[in-house]
Formats: sequence, C-alpha cells, structure tokens
Amino acid sequence: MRLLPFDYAIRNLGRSPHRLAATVLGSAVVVGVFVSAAAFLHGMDVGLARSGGPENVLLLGAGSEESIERSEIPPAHAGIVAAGVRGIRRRFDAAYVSPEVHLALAVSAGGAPPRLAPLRGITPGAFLVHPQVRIAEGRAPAAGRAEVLVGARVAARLGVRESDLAVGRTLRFERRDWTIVGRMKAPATVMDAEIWCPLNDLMLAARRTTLSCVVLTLDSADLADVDAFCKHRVDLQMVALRQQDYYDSLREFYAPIRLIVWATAGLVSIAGLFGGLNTLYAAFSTRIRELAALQTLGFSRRAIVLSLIQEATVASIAGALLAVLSARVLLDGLAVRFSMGVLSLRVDSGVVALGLAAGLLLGAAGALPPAYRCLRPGIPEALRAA
Amino acid sequence: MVTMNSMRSLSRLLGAILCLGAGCRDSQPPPEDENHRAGVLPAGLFLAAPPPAARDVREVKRDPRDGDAVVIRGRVGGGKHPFVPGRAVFLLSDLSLRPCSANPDDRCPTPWDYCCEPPDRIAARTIAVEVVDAGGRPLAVGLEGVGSLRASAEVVVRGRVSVGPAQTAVIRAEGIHVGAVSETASGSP
Repeated sequence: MRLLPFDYAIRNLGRSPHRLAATVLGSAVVVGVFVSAAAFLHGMDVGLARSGGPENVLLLGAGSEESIERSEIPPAHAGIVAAGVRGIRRRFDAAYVSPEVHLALAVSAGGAPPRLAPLRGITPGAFLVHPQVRIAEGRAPAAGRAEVLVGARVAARLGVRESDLAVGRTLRFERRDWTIVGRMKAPATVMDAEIWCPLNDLMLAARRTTLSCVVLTLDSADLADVDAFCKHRVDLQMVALRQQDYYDSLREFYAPIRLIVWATAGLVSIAGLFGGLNTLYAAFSTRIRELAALQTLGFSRRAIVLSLIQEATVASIAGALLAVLSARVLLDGLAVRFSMGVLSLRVDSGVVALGLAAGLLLGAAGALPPAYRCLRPGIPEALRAA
Repeated sequence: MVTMNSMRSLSRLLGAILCLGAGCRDSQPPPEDENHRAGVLPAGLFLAAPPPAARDVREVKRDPRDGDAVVIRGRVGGGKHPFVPGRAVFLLSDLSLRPCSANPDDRCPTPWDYCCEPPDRIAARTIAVEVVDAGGRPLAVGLEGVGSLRASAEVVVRGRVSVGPAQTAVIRAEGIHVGAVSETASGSP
C-alpha cells in the first residue's frame, strides 16, 4: 500500500490556524478532565495504600472491623496485648504498641467557622508504629497541657491559611482552646490531615472512656499469632486484622465514588469527542475533492484515512500534552477535602501516560467517522463536489 | 603497615562483635516441634463417632480447671472469622446462642458471628479450641475445611482444659467429631 507522506498531514494542520487551535484546545479540555479524574482517584488510592504500615496489625472491638470510629476497646487491653503477644517489635525495651482514639470533632481556627476534622489521641508509641509521620516543626504535644500536633493538610481541611496553624497559634474544639506546639508531615497518608493530641487529654475532653484501636508493629510474630491470641482471650472481645487490609476495605467502600468519577469523566469525554467530530468533519468536508484527486493519483482510501488519522492525532496529542503539563503544574499535590480527611491529587508518570494515551485514542477515534463520511462518495461524485 | 599482631587483634575484635551481636538478639524462640514446623495434624484427630458425655461450652467455662479432661459440644462460631488462617485454632460457641439464620427474614452472610446476641453473652459462651504440638503451641496449619470443619458446623471435641491469664480457658483438642449434636437448651435462659 502506498502511503501519503507524514508531512502532508502536518502541512494540512496549518491550513486553518483557528481550526487547529480549536482542535488542540478541545482535546486539552477533554484530556484535562480525564487526567483530573485519574489524579483524584490515584491520590485516594495512594493515600489509603500508604496509610497502613506493612507490618502493622490493628486490634479493633469485635464487630467493628469495618469502622475504627465505631470500635471500642477498654484502655487496659493495650497493656494486656503488649504483655501477652510474643514477637512484637521493641526498641530499647519500648514495645511498638500504640493505643489510639479516633474521633471526628468540630474544630475552628483562625476565626473561621468550625469544620469537622479527624483527631487522633496518641501516646509516644504512635511515632514508633507510624514511621511515615515526621515532626517537621516544633515538638510532640505533652499530656495535661491542652497541646496538639497538626498535620500538613489540616489547613486545607479547616479552610484556613497555613499561618493560622503556625506553632504557637490555637485551635478550638470541645469548648476549649488547644495550643499548636508542632507541625507534622506524613505525605500521601490519611495522617497528613489529622490533629494529634495526648490520648488521655482527648478522652477527657470528649468524655470517652474507651479506645478506638490498638496498633502493633510485629517483629517475629505474624498476624496468625495475634489472631490466635484474640481468640484465646475471647473475653477481651477484640479482633485482629492487618492495618493495610483495613485501608483496602475502605478503598472498596469508596468504589461507588470511583464509578461516579469515571462515569462523569466519561460523559464529559464523550461530549468533547462529539465536539471534536464536528470540528474534524468541518475540516475534512472542505477537502472532499482533494481527497478524490489523491485517489485518482493512486493513493488508496486506506492510505488517505491513515493520513487523516495522523493529522487528527497530532492535534489531539498536542492538546493532551498541554493538558498533562497544566495538570502537573496546577493539580499535582493539590489538597482536596474528601470525606473526613484531605486527599492530595497525584499527577505522576502513570497518570501522565494515561492522559497521553487518551489523547492518542481521541485523535484516532475522532478522525474515523468524518473520514468515512468524506470518503464514502465515489470518485466522480466527489470530484464534482463543491 | 599491617602486622600479624594487628591482624590477630582485628580478628578478635570482629569475633567479639559477632558474639555480642548474637547475644544481643531478643530471647530466642523455643525450639520448634517437627509437627509445628510441618503443620501436620495428628493422625486420628477427626473421630467417626462423637465421644459420650459431652458438656456445653457455658458449663465448661463456668468452672474451668487446668488439665481436666473434657468432652465439649458446640457450634463453630462466635466471630465473623472463627478460624485462624495458618493456625490450628477455632472458636466454639454454646448451642444456646441463636444464629441470625434462625430468623427466616434475616439474610446475614455470617450467621455464625451471632451479631444479634449481646457481645458479653457471646464472649461468655464461646471458647477457643486448638490443636497443639508437644511444646503447647498451636500447629501451623489452618483447620477450616479440614475434616468437614466449617463455620456453623456442630462439633464435639475431646480434649483437656488449659487455663491461662484472667482464668480464660482454652480446649486443647485430642479428638474432634463433626456432625449434628443434640441441644440441651435453645434460646436464652
């Protein structure tokens, strides 16, 4: 098959700069919506995937495996577990055991109206079992002094400026002011949007008498050992599961949201595709006689279609490049309030590749219907076309 | 220049560091029983006929005595996952606990967790059953699906009571019969 030269397709793009700009921008918008959806869902996936330590086991109240917030465990159980389970990681005789309370409370700061934010009551063991957390500024909160440690994304959660959550400023919740003594970072995890305070202080303030969970980091023990312990001590009414399995179950919980996001992106893409089809049809229809002339010169319809696809694909890839570059600059790392926390949009190599592939598909698929319409008439009829 | 003396000193120092490193490990785990390592269940564990004079779970839990021989009957359950994957341990519940499936309108996918019953009542009427090695450690093999053992199955277990911290009892099984057992009572007393 004799093919048309590639520069024929490129030269045709320059025939109508306005039409080219419309095609490129149209493609950029469609791919942009697609990339935004992918960045949102990828950010959610990464946030949940990195929040669970690979060797961490979560102990929850029996029957509350699907929700830490609903789980209740008497505080004494943390010590029983630390003493009863062999093979928990230790450092200088400190066991990697973290009793925790997880709450969502209305928090206000910087004069803004209160908003629900996730709080976690912790002991020093939390910094052992959650190595993703790093104190970037200040120090850990001390018990009995109404002090808190604030995550890097809490400002986005509360809708305030970063300066409103600087070390030394105050938050207000449970009818009390709490001093920010430190800022922490736990990138791409749910903890990045949390407020941490001493366990007993939070339990007192929230009038809570039970823990939400106990987090362990295992060394020589495995999940089966902890599970067996919980079954031996059925009186404690606890269940053990891998922390990562808990966050994986949350991802499944959000499956309908993923479906809605992809469906929305799909609908917008289809609308954009139809717009593109119109533009391309307008572009190709003015060249029906030219395309017929090419056929008389010996180029097959297949070769002409290929050239039209090249033309449309170059324009759509240019739009896709514009979209992924803009997304990378504007969206990557952007904090978005979601459910009880904040997630960061992620535009990484996978999302970029997806965007470029979408642009390629848009160009190829978008060129076919108008090409078919323009090449359908016979050569004599096409040569007589206006 | 490296001399013979300095080489000897260096090798002694390295040897000392290695010994220190070996000694600094957390307490060594006890030597493993061969059966534990291989996850092999003892021959004759599953019985063709139920042992006689079986007692209810709540009766055994009321006054557990360490080392006593016991025959106990019940239903596998007491939690959403009554078996421990990779360990010969499962939960056995008293026959008086009412599974959700007893209500014809209930479509609960895990009736063996007795979620319709109060948690304290479930805890009081559920006991762990394990198959252990010579060292008293549960064998490293799961029991779900072995010898027809599954959630909600009615079983009779012959074994010995082992009482641990806080007077919590565990049954160390020597024989397990899987099959329908007669109830002494049903519903809440």
